[in-house]
Amino acid sequence: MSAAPVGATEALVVLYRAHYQELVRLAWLLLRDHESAEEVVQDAFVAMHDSWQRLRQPDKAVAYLRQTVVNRCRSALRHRTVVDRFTPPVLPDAPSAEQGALGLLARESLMQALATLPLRQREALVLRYYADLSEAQIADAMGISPGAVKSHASRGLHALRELFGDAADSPLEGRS
Amino acid sequence: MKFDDETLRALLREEAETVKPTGDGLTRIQERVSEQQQRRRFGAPWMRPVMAAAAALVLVAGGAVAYTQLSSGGSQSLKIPAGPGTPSPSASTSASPTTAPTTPPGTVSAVPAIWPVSADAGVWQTDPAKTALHFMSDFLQMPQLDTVVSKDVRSTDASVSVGRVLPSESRKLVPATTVHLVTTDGKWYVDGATSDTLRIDQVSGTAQGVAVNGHITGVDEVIHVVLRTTGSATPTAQTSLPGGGQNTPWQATLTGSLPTSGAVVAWTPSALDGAPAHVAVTRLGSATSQPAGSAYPSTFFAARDGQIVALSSKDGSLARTLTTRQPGGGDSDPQVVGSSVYFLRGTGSCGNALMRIPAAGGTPVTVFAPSQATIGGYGVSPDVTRVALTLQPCAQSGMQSVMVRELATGASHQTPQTPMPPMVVGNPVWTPDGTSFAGVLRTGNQAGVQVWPASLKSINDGAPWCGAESQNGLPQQVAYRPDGTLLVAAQNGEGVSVASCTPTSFTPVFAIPGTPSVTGIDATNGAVIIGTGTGDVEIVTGQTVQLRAVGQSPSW
Repeated sequence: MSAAPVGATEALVVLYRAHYQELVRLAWLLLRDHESAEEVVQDAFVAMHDSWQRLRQPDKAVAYLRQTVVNRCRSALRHRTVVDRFTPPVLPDAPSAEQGALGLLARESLMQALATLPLRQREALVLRYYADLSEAQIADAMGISPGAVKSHASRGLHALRELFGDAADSPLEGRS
Repeated sequence: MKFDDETLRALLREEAETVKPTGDGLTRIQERVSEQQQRRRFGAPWMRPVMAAAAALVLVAGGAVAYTQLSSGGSQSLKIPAGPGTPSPSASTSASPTTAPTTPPGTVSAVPAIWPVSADAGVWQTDPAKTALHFMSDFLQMPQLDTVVSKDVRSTDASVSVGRVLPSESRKLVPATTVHLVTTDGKWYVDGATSDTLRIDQVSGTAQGVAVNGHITGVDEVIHVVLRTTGSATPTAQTSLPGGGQNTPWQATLTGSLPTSGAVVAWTPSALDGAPAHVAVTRLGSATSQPAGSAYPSTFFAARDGQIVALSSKDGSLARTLTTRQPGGGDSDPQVVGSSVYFLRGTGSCGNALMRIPAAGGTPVTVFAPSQATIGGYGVSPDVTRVALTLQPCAQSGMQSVMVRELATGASHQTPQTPMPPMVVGNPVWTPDGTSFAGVLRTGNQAGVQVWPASLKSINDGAPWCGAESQNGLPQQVAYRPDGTLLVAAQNGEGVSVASCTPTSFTPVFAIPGTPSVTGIDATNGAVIIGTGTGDVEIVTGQTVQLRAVGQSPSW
């Protein structure tokens, strides 16, 4: 059988199975809110289904999904910035008991540090270090140039190092 | 400080892995997609290409259905029926309000559909996706297609994409067909199935047989084409042909005549393992499903005190007595076939006779009286041309043979007499299309349901049904619903369980606790009538007992 054109509904299922979890986790790293992360990713899949006639190819669809997730996270964070002025901050989900205390501390510290970074720097770091994307792919997802990606990532990384400093009791110590 | 790339990468990954998606994401997405489509929809897209071809109109509950029946030079053509619920310009302009049948209050009109014919097929019938999966396994006999890829459910119709996970390393989920369903009474019925790459365009009855035309997109394909008649569990005819290309036409000719009610199935096998890869199903003309509430005849026949009686299905009261008590023997095992009631008349010693009497009453006539043998069980074919019998010779106790006899000519063939067991117990029951019959084959301490071809030469020629023998109790009697569903009544430690069967499955429908055996069972599409070893007759719809009366071996 020749490669038949894949329909939107079929593509939806295949892409969901392959990428939904990874995208929810990406959204979680940007939003730190599980429910919002799933909503954002579901929004992206619905939008992808709508745009399937234009996309047609799974690799294009994945890039589209990623871009949509990043955009919608950005929108959600902007909205949250407004809402947060009137509501107390929400603590992140409680960690499970079996997670190592040191690793937990390191992660919490990192996530808190990430949260202080400008949004673009945070996106660039998460897309590079969690999603393992190339500069071109990150540029595509963020809607900026590869040069700008390099700049945001570099500044973000530098800021993280500054935030953690060189203190001997840094929670990141000894994890390499 | 060791704040390097790998540390950052590892921490982010660990953090991300604490997030577990809830698991219902796909359902939520599909529901939202479906809602969007519904808002935009003017009609189901799969039906649009054929709407223009609609020429005749049948109005049914839930929407207008159009199909063509073109006659030309003695041939009959059926184009793909447009599904219900589809606004059709041609239909709406040709429909005359005065010719549209009205639906009496409290009843539901027939639904144009392939399957199931009954509104009581199972609990799953309230769910379009589950109905689609049962259609694949139970009607099409394609159990490999066991996964719902997506669904689009609307108020009166639904489309369910069905496929499977490939048995390759990729474990990729691939759709094979989109099943189209309709509903009017809270139950779902399959009206057809379509494929993106395999299409059925036209089905025609010709002098050479049944011609099926379609189009295919693909390379090096084999197309299997199967003709199914409503009520038959086995294909009426089938053929295979090569096909392939880009939207290339194909034509198949099947032997036989065009059934007035049924479906044509076209499918192509997967190059990977031969399982169905693309499936299209088209309903033929007048196939309809019997909705809920219509259920069963007002009168049933049973044996009572050696006589055949007609009883009210409503309250069990005696409507009339058909036969008089015979000295030394008795009448038993009534079976209603058309306007006649067949029964067995004993002689008081070895030997008995198959008799027939008009259902309205009259003089009984002998249909077949075997010489020096007793008829253990019998079944008359639905077209009243043949009877299948089990015979036990008077001279040689413990022996049995199975005979198929032409009623008009008396011509017959039978299996060799063999010592029991193995033996056929109960009555053989013909498939609705009259090509084969089912029964219970007992071997030692076990019994299983078998389906034999009418041409059988040995009781070993049957094919097993209802799955593993040992897990389902001891089958005693079988019956076919008019839609072809095989029911079996099986005794277990707690009573009798009635189940619907496929060759490999045994799905309990209801149970009658406390009864040691079954004297007979018959079924419509909506109800079951069963005689129990305690001397009762029960009429059951779904799992509800509608009537309990005194009698044995009931039949509608």
